[in-house]
Amino acid sequence: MQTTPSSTIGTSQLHVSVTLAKGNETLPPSTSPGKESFNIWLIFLLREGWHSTYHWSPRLATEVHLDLLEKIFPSSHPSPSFENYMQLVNTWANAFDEEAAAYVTEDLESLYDDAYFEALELQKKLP
Amino acid sequence: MIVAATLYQRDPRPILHRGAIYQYRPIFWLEPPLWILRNYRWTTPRSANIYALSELRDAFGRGSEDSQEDVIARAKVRYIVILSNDFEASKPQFKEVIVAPTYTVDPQAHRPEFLEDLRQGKYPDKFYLPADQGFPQMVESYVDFRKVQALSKGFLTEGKLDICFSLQAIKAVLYRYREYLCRDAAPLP
Repeated sequence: MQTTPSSTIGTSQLHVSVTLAKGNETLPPSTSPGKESFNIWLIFLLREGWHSTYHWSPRLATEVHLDLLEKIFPSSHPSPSFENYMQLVNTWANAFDEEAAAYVTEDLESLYDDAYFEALELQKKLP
Repeated sequence: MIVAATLYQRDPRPILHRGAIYQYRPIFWLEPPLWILRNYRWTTPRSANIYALSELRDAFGRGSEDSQEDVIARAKVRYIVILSNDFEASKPQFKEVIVAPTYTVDPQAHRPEFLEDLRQGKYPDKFYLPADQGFPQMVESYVDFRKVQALSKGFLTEGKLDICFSLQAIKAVLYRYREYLCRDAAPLP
């Protein structure tokens, strides 16, 4: 049986601690859930992975999402989807570089001279 | 081939620059009807009178100062990333910068199909930002290109994080933003 310290989920003020139990291990009694904190008891079939099955106190009306579990028990390695997405980001960044020659790289300091900013001020007054 | 490890990096620069991230900055929008404030002064804002645009015949004209009106806008604070180039960001004569607001992914509110496509970068108007274990403050979210807007630098004097987009990330964002703007463009005459 494994219990985590209380965690804050996202930007909410929800404090959650989780007790994991294998198979038929006896769950501990509830620790007087209040408005701002409560325990969630989760049973995992560890041989099938962390996220295989779970249940929780019936007083909880909302479903515990896998993302919540991820925040409580962050995996030590990036997920395959994360790595796949970062590959995509690399592809886009490389495409940016490949097209860089076509981008305008003017000397902005000389382009935006005093006359430009005077026109900018005048523009505000135009109808 | 350039390899990027993450979307984010530590940002020791205290200045406004492309890729900088600010937290809880106001993002504004207007929805009809347009409410106009008259007799509005910074020093005594509660003395203002509120009119619907339809109630005024001289709005944005002789009834206003320099053809400008004070209006009521709606806003929400969000994390934003700076898209403007460093020159515009640093030049004091430019009063605004282009910013892209980010929206937090909410697995309870978003449909699974949406999340799946978002996480694969399939939406042209959104740039997915996966949670990064190296930067726990940056939760799973996305940039919405449709909400890119100019924001006064006056709103960026605080809220800057010591985290910014990595070079690879900002390149990817700009590439995708340009793709989004040019997408399905009809042939120009």
